[in-house]
Amino acid sequence: MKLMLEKITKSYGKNLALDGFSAELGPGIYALLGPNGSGKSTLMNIITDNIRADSGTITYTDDDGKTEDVIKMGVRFREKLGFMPQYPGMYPNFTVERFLWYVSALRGMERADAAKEIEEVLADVELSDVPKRKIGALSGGMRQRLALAQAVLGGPSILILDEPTAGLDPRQRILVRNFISKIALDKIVMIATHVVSDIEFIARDVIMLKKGVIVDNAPPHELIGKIEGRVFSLDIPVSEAAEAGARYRVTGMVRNEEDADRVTLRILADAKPNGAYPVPPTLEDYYLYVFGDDEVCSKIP
Amino acid sequence: MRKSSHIWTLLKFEFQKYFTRFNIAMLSALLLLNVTLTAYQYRNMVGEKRRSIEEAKDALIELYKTDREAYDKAYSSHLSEYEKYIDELYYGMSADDPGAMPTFKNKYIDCEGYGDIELFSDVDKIVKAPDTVRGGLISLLRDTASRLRETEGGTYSYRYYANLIERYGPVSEQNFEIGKTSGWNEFFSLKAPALLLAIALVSTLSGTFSWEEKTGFSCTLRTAKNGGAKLAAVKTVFIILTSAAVTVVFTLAPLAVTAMFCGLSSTAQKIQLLNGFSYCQYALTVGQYLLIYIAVRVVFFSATALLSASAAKLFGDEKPAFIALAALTVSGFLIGAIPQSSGLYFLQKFSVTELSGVNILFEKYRGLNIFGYCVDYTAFTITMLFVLFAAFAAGAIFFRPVAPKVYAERASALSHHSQSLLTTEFYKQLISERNIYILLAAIVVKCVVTAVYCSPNTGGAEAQYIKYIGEVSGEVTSEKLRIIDEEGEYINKSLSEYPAAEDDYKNGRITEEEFRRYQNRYNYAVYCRGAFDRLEERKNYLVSMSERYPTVGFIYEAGVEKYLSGPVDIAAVIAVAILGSSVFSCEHKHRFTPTLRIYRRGRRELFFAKLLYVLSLAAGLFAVFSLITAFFIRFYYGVDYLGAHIMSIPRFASTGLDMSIGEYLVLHGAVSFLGHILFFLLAASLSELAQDQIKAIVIIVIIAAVPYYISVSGISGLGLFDYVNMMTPGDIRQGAISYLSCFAAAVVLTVCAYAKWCRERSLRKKK
Repeated sequence: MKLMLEKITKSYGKNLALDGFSAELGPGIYALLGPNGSGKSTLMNIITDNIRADSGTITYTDDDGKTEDVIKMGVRFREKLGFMPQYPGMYPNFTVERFLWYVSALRGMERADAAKEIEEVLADVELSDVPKRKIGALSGGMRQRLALAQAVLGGPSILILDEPTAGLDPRQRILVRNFISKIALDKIVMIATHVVSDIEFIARDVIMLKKGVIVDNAPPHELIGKIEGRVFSLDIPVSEAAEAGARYRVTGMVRNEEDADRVTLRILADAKPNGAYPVPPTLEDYYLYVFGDDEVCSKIP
Repeated sequence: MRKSSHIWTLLKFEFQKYFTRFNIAMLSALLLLNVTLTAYQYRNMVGEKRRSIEEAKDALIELYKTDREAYDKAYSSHLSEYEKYIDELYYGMSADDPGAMPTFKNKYIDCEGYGDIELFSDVDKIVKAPDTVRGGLISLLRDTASRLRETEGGTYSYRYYANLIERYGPVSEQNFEIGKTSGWNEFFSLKAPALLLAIALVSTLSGTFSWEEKTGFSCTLRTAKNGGAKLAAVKTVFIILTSAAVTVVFTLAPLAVTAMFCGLSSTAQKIQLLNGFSYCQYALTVGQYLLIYIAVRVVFFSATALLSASAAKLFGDEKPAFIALAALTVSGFLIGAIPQSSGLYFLQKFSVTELSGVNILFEKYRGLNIFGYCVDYTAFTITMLFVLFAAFAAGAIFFRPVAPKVYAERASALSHHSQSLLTTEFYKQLISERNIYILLAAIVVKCVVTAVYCSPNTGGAEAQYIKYIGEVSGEVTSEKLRIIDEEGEYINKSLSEYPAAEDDYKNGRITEEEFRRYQNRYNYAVYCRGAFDRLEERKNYLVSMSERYPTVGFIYEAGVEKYLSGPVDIAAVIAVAILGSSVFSCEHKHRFTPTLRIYRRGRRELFFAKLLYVLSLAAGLFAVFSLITAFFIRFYYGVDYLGAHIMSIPRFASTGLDMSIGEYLVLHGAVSFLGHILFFLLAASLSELAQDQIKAIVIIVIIAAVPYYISVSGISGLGLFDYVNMMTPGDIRQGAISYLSCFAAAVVLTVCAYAKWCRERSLRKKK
């Protein structure tokens, strides 16, 4: 199973939202990382046929090796999709279970299968104790989990999730992350996020998107490797923090536990600052390294 | 920054927020419609003929003012010519061989349909108007004084008469100038489309508070320093200013059209010289009344706009505002239908449709009996308008939206729900979107309106006529004709013998008992005369028809007449507009559309499920409403002549139809059924094309109201897309083109909605 996106381009007037996006997606989790306005939601809406690209093709290759254009496939492609948009809309006066039954009807599921799967998916997203609660009365996190539940109901082989952990507390984010990880073994899962920690340990590939253009595309460990030796820790007096902030790219600042007048800065720099020592980089460091300063983009090998 | 500049800034933002392109376009369209319809009503006021008539009138009026003697001479001369003409006319009509009928020789003006007879009649009315008005007022005062003397002091009646004298005394002493009142009669009697103005205001302003609730921004707003009561007050001021401006524009636009078409006479004339204002209780000039007219309208419609905004704020949705508007319109209709003999007739003074026209407040003095005191109706009503205005304004500022209730759920196993898209669609639309309340309200309104409309005429003459028909009901036979003739002879004899019998009794030639017999017969004849004349007319009609349609018969067709002449089914129109506009817009409102379109059955199957829902609901609505109408018709009139030939009913005399009444009603019902279906389809399609329920409702109401209004205004040749008339058809033979246009439009829009739902859509551009 493979999803090929070739030179996808989309403009809104003069605004070029996607510029020649190309990627080959097989089973696994793909993270789309990028700041707001980078084209993540546009790409997801194009894949889910909510909007049409100006140019480019999307093709699907099944397990038998047959390749088809997804637009021509039409409903046969949409059958394989599960979509959780950035702002999931639901019917506030529907109960949780009625809503999922409706989704099962829209997916064309058999009644027996639907009953079983609804029960399972509610347990997976920890909504089993509120099946009869109206959606309008759910908390934000519960609604987010319900939106995820409707996306995975029916076992679609391609999941498009736009900010799936938005509004969730840390425990719930781990729950969702683990859940996605579990189901992604035989699915193509594309997650759009700018919460790096959500995908750092589960993504197969990270696609960095800026202003509609792919600026990098590699597994997380490779991306992290690119800034090996460029992340430092620097311990300085509080009074010098402002000056250090002006001179270096500061990605974090923590008060020294032993001396309240000193702070420890986490710095991104091509050369080691005086007094600093290197620390292991994270994917978040790489994200900031790529998106924190426009000039820095040109330095990426 | 000063506080006043904060308020001004907030106010400016309110104007920017709500004067969107759609709202500006909609207001412009409604204003244009307002002007066009007004201009159409004056279509006969332009042209050479009209100008000649007005010039002739002006010349004679000027002659009257400057040379009274010459005018009197001209008038006398005209009168004698007119008398001669009448004599010749009478002679010609009564002669065996009439020859050529005489024609009147016009000297002053000779246009088609308007000559000296009409000219002098009109001018005579104008020059005598001051005396006529003063005479009327003095006569009223005299009568009132006489009644006052006979009335016990301290009662309501006494106070009423005393108030009359107090008010009309000074009015009768005014100096009334002679002059035409061109333009003002026409303007103040315009059946101005107040509904258009109300739609404009409710559509633009009802979302002033609720829009921010729906976008979710209101909770953030309330935490801001100026976001609470201050912002609510600014919004209220915005509503008042906008509704005042729109009301003034919508009122002055027809005035400008009137000035163009009819010309406007002096504003210094006394209001009492205008038609319908002869007994106005205030010493006002036309100009002063115009200002009051505009001011009262501003207060009235501002109160309407505030009511709609407050209702929308309370419920977090604009739908209640439209329901409130519909309820007021229906109440106006219901109150207008109350007969004069009813004890509830006084409610007409408070009908919103009458009050929106303002004239009812100034036509004449009216008193209200409040605990035995006579309260001035005009002052009371205007005060109440201000009170309501203030109450709605306060509501707009201080109402808080009703929070949704969260009930503790019982622990229970997972329930199985239906997987039918159609069943879920019914649940979604009627239960989840709360449209069941709209449906129930429409049914209640339908019951009330139908009960009021269908209630029979309970007069004695009608009862006698029903009795007559009952005695001869069925096909025309010689036996029945003989019965009718005998009854006629009896009545005529009773009437003709009575004067002589009365004379005989007075002169003692007959006893009292004998005279009583004559008297009873006479009274019976007088009582039955009207009903018998109707019966005889019906007899003559049926006899003339029976040669071609042998099965025609005597029937009391009031029930069928009521059914076929019924007014617009406003309950159905409003129900369809609201229910239909929700079909697709609810998906966009809840932002579920992008996800819905992913599902295998989320496009075509779901579209057709919604279509089936629309068809089912339209059919159900039609069935229920038809049952309600049938129930009341049967309840009041007992329709048992459906097998009778349609030509038994005189209104069908010229149609040439050859079928039974029942068959015609089936056809009629079929057209009405189709009208319901097509209007519902139209509404549902627009809900997808507009993607917003309020926009869809506004467009639907305009589509429904405009062709209907044009048709009742008498414009011929149009009548396209008249869904309202198709739902409540009159003569179904004459609406074929309209029905076809309705069908075509509904089909085209449904196809467009299908294409839009099932294909791509663009995300809104991010600015």
